[in-house]
Amino acid sequence: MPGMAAAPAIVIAGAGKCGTRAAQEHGAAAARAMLGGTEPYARVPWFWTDQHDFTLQVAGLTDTATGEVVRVRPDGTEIWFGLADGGRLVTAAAAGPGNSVARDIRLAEMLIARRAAPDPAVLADPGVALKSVLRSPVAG
Amino acid sequence: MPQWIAACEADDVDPEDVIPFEHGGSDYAIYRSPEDAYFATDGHCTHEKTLLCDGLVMDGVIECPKHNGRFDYTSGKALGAPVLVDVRTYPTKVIDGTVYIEVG
Repeated sequence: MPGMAAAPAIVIAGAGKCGTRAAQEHGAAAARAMLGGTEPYARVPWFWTDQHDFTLQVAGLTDTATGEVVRVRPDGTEIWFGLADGGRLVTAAAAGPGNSVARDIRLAEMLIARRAAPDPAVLADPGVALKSVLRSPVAG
Repeated sequence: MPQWIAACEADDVDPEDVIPFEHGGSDYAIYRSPEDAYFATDGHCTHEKTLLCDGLVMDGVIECPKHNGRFDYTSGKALGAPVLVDVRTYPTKVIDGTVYIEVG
């Protein structure tokens, strides 16, 4: 509605991804809009949920993936990467004990934001730190 | 009474990474910078007490794995919402490959 802006306490942003960080970012976006900004809100959706001793984290929109790569970490945790046509990373998801998947999903989120198209073999290789992928030229 | 406690071996922490350390019922986070300097903070985020050791360490910053609260791990300074309170830091030193932190 013209002239109206919302700065929510919690938001849903794209395919059910929600959270307090999104709320914080939406608040800032609303403030920018009220001050005349026209930049669209384009952050990568990110979501987590605790299920007893496990946490599930998802970054990106899973329904935009047309291919997939799975990384099996030494602790047995699987990190699922979704790729779009052309190999661009568009989503990642994992579940593991405590917050053990948070770091990998955060790095995947940053790769998604940079519209990176990492080598699928690298994504699948648990010996290659995602932080090094983020800092490689392919990450943009 | 402050005391120096052996927290870990220097090689236990990868460059630009963090590991947990528990002593006397308290949790700490031990950091190694890309320049191989060592730092220590309280183990928990000041926002909702999440363990920081599962967070991402990049560019001098530790980011909480739950709500993305960010701290300068060299100074403990909170870098913005949702964290409003600095995280406590502890002096460190490395002797013969062992990392010590001063607690108490």
